[in-house]
Amino acid sequence: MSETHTETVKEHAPASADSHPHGAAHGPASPGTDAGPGAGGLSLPERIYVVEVVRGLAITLGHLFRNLLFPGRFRTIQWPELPRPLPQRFRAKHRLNKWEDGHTKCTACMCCATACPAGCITIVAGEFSKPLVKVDAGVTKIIEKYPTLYDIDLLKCVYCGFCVEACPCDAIKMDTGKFPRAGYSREDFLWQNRFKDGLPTLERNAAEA
Amino acid sequence: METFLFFLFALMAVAGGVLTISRRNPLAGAISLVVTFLAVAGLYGLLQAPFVAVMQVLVYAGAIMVLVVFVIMLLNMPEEDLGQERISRGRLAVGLVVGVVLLTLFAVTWLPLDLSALPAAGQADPPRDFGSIRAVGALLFRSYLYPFEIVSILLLVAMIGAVLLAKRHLD
Amino acid sequence: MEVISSLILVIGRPALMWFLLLNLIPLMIWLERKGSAYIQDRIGPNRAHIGGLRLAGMVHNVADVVKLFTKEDIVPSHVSRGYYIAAPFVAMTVALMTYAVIPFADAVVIGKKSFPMQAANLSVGFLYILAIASLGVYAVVLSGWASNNKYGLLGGLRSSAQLISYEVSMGLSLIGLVMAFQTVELNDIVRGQGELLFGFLPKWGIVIQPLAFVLYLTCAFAETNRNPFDLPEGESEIVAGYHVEYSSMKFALFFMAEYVNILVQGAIVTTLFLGGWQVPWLPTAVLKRHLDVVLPLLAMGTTVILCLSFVILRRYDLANRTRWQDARRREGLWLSRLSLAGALAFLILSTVFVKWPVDSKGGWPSLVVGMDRALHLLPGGVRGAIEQLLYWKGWGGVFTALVQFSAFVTKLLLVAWLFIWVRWTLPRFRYDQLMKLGWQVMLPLALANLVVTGVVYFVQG
Repeated sequence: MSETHTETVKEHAPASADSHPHGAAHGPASPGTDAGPGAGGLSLPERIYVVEVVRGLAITLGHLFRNLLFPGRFRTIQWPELPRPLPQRFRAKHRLNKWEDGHTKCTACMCCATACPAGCITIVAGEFSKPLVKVDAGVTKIIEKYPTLYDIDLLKCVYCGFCVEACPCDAIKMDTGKFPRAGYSREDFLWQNRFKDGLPTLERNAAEA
Repeated sequence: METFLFFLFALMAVAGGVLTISRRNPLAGAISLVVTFLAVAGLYGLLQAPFVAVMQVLVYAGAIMVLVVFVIMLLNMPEEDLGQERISRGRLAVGLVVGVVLLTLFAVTWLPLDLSALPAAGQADPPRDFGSIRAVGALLFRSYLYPFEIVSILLLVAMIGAVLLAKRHLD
Repeated sequence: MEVISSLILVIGRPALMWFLLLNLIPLMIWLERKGSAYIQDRIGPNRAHIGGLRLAGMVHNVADVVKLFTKEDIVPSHVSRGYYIAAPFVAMTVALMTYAVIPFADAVVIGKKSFPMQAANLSVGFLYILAIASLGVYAVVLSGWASNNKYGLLGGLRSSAQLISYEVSMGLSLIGLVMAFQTVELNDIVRGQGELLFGFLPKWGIVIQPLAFVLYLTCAFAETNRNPFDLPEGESEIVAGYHVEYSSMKFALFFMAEYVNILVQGAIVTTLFLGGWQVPWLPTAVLKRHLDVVLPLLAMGTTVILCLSFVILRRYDLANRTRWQDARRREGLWLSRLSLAGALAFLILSTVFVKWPVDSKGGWPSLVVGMDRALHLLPGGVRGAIEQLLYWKGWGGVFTALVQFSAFVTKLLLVAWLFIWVRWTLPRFRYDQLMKLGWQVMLPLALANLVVTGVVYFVQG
């Protein structure tokens, strides 16, 4: 009887289009006011309304029973017990890559901090006491620098992923699948890393589950 | 018990009536009137007239007063527009005269009635279906059919008149 | 014995009524939440739990109660205090009062006394219901006006206009029933509906007055302010209408009154149109004679329904099994196991041991095998008292009433479910549509129904 209902009918029952053709225009269709036949594009059964009520009730009851009998059909995700399935290239919280022996891959080149549009990366560079020699894909690398401090303020970070693209040594990744949840202070959202001779001495996780 | 209930309802009715005319706020007055109607319905119930009691609630408290309340709320007069009640000497005189005339009329109508013809308290129970729907219906549609129909026509005329007046005002 | 039994029946009748009505409220709220969720392809409440027990969201009601009781009870400074406080009480009182005349079983005859199974046996019958229901509008109007809030006022206005409009059709649609059953007393109307039409169709109100049924149901929706007639609340237009300024238990009273009203209307529709406490094709006398068949059947039916619902619960749990890694996961499994065991025991008991003695001596000892022998072990005085209780003649009547009561509650819940079902299906009316429907469709239809019914009964003589 109301306009909303007319649209519901159109949506849910395309088969009814041939049995009750409503005109193209169902403009100011107010069921009580239009007395003339076909006024407002409503057919007779639609104007009697009771028939349409019963059809609507049938639709809702159908949904009810389908959901009752096939509980697996729900699309609801049981968060937080079940995390939402993330897309493959989802940019989540950062991770610093390591060599097999535990040394950080980061060379404190500042590329990420430079690329960062939010300016949330803080790096303090340090020097190895003895340069690190690594063979990567057949190329021998002599690494002299490492970050003594590598902090990311996750409240500033916009998760754009520029740091990952800028990194020349594949040291920073955003593939953890975690993202910060709630915290009680700004410090909770500061992701802190400290290194000594390229080995991590402290990693304080920012607020995450 | 019955005496207690009678005085309870009577007190409610009188208090409601007094509040109805003394409260300045129209809605408060209307609600007081509803209380009066409910109390009167209770009195009817005590008089073994359940049908009249229910009709009192249904028609007066449930329909007419709702309409009154509806109109009061529709107008929704702010407190300062309510107007001061002034009791001038002239008004007081008119009120007194009207009151005395009404009381006299009341006395003239009711005093000659022979109250001894009524059954004394607790002496004889009224007939079993006294005040029931069947009895009231039989009275209305057998003994008093013509007055009943005339009243209904009167009401119809009043309604048509009201509609006509409202219509003319609108046009 | 006689004194005790009559005392139990006199106090028990209203007590049973209150108990039923007040305890059905949480069930209704749960039905509304879960039903609406399933209708809309959602899961609905499933979080609140007591030690992992969540009963498919039923525990949310407990959380609600705790929340509403402990919330601050705010009386805003701009309200008319007296009316503001009185309004929720009026709402609840009126809602509960209506139920007084609804019969929930046939009169129980014990010895020479007959106990009508309703809280008050009034000769004015459903007129009382109409009268009390018409008072319900004052709660809405008072709260709306006393709140001193434009939304509240609009809600109150809409409500009073709506109730006046639909009460007329409501009353008129019932007069056809009075013609059919020649009485306004609810218990007599229900007894009249126990007869058969054409020898096979129960003479229910819905069968002989189908149009009146539809009209009354529509008016009942309007009277309870439920969708599609929930303009007084209309949360998308006037926030919450009349109870927008209420908090804590005052709001809860309005909330509960809404569900009590649904239950009351469900009870009225059941009583007037769906045969009330009548079990179809089984008049009271027949029912009483065949209790030995009916009682086990009822027990079995209950068991089957219980089993079905727990099977559904279990399936629901299994479908989400990998997902819940906490204590709540176990609940569905345990619950279904426990209740399946209980249901099985119930089933076995009801089929094997129940042997209702027809009208011979008998009583309960013969119900359970070996019970009479066990009784002989007791000392004489105690045994006498127990035997007097067990061999009491009134049990047949009480159990008949119990069967009829369950029939009544079943129908009542079905009608109440209809209210929920309609609410989550239909959109709200516009105000002009509401008025047009009330005065230009319902009223003429009710009058036409009245005229046709009158002519038919006049011709039949």
